[in-house]
Amino acid sequence: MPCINSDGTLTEAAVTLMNVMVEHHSLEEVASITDIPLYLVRATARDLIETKLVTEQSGAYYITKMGSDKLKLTLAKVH
Amino acid sequence: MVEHNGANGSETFRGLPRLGEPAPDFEAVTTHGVLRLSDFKGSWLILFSHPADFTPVCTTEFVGFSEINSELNKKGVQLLGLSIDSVYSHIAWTRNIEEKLGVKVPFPVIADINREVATKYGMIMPGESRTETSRCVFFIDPDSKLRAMIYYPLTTGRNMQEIIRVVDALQATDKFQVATPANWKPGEKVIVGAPNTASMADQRMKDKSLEVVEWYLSKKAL
Repeated sequence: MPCINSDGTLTEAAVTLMNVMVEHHSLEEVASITDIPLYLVRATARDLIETKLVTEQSGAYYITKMGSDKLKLTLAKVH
Repeated sequence: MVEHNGANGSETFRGLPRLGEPAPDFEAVTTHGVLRLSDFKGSWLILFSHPADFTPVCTTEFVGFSEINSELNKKGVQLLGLSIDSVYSHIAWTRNIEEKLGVKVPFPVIADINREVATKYGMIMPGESRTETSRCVFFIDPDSKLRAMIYYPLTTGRNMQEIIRVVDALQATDKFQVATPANWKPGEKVIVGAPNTASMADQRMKDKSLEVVEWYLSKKAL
C-alpha cells in the first residue's frame, strides 16, 4: 500500500502505522494494535522502510527522525 | 513446469502449478499497492482470476466474493483477485460495482498486465482464450503451499459456498488429520484413514468408537 499521497503527505494507512511505530513493535503487533490485515501492514512497512520513514532492528519497527518530522507535518496539514 | 509453444510460435503457456508444492512466488501491482506472496505468509490466501473487468459473469462473481470476504477473514483467509486489466480499470470497475450494485469490493486485485503471475499459475487456457485468464481459484496455506485448485471455464460463474467448503475441509484436515467425504460440511462426520495392514483392518472392524461401514471406510464425529 503506497505510503505517500500525491501531495507529499502520508496516506491514512501510513499515519496509522507510524503512530504505533513511535514505540518499537513487530509487524504482527502493529497489525493487532491497528486491526489492519498483516499482509497490508507488511506491504506498507516495506514502503515506509524504502522511503526511510521507518527502520527495522531485530524484528522491531520504529519511525526515524525523518518519519517523525513527516508525521508531524501530515498531522499539521490535516488539522 | 513445462512450457509449450503457442500456435503462432511466439507465445508460451506454462503448465499448471502442482498441489503440495510451494505456490509460485510473485510481486505484483494491485489495487492496494505492490503486494508479494510472502506478505500473506501466516494466513490462508485464496488467489483467484477472472477474465476481464466490466464483464457480466465476472461482476456477479466479484459481488459474490465480496459477500463472503468477511466470513473468509474470520477463518483466517485473505482474498486476492487477478486479471490482465490495468489497476486503473480495476479501480474504475470496483467503484462502478459499489455505485451500481451497492457492494464494496474489500480485497486487493492484481493488475497482471504482462501476464507474469497468470503464466506462473497456469491461469491462461489457450484453448479458451489466448489473452484472458480463466476462472481459477488457488487455495494457498499459511506456509505458502498450494493446497487446492479449481478451474472454471469463461462461461461458468463460481460457487462461493463451494469455495468456503473447500477452506473448511482443508482447515479440518490440518487441525484433525482427517479426510472429508463428498459434500462434507462442518458438523458432519469425517473420514478416518484406512488401515494399512490386514491386522489393523481386523481391529478397525471391531472399533466401536467409529462408524465403520467397511474396514476401509470409517467415519467419526469431530
